[in-house]
Amino acid sequence: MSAKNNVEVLCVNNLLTHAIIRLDEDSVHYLFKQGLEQGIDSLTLLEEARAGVQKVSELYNCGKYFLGDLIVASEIFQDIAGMALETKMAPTTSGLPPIIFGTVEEDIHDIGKNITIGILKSKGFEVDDLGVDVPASVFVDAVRRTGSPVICLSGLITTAYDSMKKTVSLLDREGLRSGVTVVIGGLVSEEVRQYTGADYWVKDCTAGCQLCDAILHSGPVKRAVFL
Amino acid sequence: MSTVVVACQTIKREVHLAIRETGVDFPVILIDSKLHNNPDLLHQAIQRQIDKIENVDTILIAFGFCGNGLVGISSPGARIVIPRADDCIALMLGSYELSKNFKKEVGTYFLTKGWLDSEHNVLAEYECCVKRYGNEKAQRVMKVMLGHYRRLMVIDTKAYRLEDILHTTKSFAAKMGMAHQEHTGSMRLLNKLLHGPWDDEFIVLEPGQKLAFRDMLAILTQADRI
Repeated sequence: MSAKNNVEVLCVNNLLTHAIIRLDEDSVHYLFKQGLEQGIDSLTLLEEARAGVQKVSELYNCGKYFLGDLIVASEIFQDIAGMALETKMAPTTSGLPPIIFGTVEEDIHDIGKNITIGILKSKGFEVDDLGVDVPASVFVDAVRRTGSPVICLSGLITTAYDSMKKTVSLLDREGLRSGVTVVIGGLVSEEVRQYTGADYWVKDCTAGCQLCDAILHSGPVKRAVFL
Repeated sequence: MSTVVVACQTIKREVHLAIRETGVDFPVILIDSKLHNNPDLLHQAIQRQIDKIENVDTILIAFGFCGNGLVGISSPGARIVIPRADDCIALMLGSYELSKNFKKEVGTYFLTKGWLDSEHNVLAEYECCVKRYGNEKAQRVMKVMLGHYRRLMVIDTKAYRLEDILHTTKSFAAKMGMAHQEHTGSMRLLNKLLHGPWDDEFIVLEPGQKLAFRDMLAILTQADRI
């Protein structure tokens, strides 16, 4: 790539991140298309957009943005991720089993789950989204059905901890636990991980994606918080 | 015996009602309710406030556990009393069991005037979305936000005039396609926090003792009693 194009790449990338932070849907679409036309890899562009979503998430956490803004940022991101899949440069990870994902029983909060799934799909991962209020037995059936080595349990309320624990225990009782890495996400901590018997905890969508990527490509890594 | 109440701003009316009902005269320190978005920040704010309190025997915490925001709190010189409530809905309804059962039935979104006063309440979210993105997109965003909720329940805690908010909440529920219900709340748990007895519906931390995650879970998973 020429020096001129490198400069153009940087310009588009920076603008894309900032357009997401500004929640400027039209500019994001325009810049994404421009980037593709310039021959920039769709994953590179999506990564820049994801950085914007991450920033919006931080602005929400510190009370500067509304939850609606975070949802809009996520929707814009998912739009361009969909556009990326239609291009010839769509990321592929053929051969990898799907990541099982769901909000645990008695919990219906799914915004974080959906953002994470959007990012995973944009990176070419297959996701088996079981939805919300998912009983332990449904997670176990999904592991049996897909042979997936990764299961992500999401939850935002205190009662979710027992549902997570129940799911991990059922995996254990059914003899599936050793073959599955269990990741919990949402309002969780190391103490919650220990209580539920999960392998990892994440509070951040991007960290969750990186963790799933690492597990699927390299096998389980050291059990700890992954931030 | 000196006592101070540290309370969430969202439930300030109810805390003051409980103070009137019980006849105690404890000072109340309010913590900003918008910190709920981030339990770590909420924790820091509560701990900072506790650290400022000196020469007091007892600190009563008028909060639910709020996404683990209370885990780790402690006071070097005072005992801390915390009610059995995963969030402040239990404090408005009068018991954790009742709140748990409501949440089991159907996706229920609870509101009181206190929640409507807070800067980032769900109605403010909606109005902000309409202003920023227009009606159509705002509806789409709210569907993502509230898509799994079927019922909007206004808790009549008697600490405010219900009729002052009913028009607003009914109109919002209709726009969101949710059923609107009113439910009479109860100050039972808040009153009990103020005057005791601090039985197994409360965690009592001795001076220097930190609230452990396992203690919090243990009290929430006790057999139902009501």
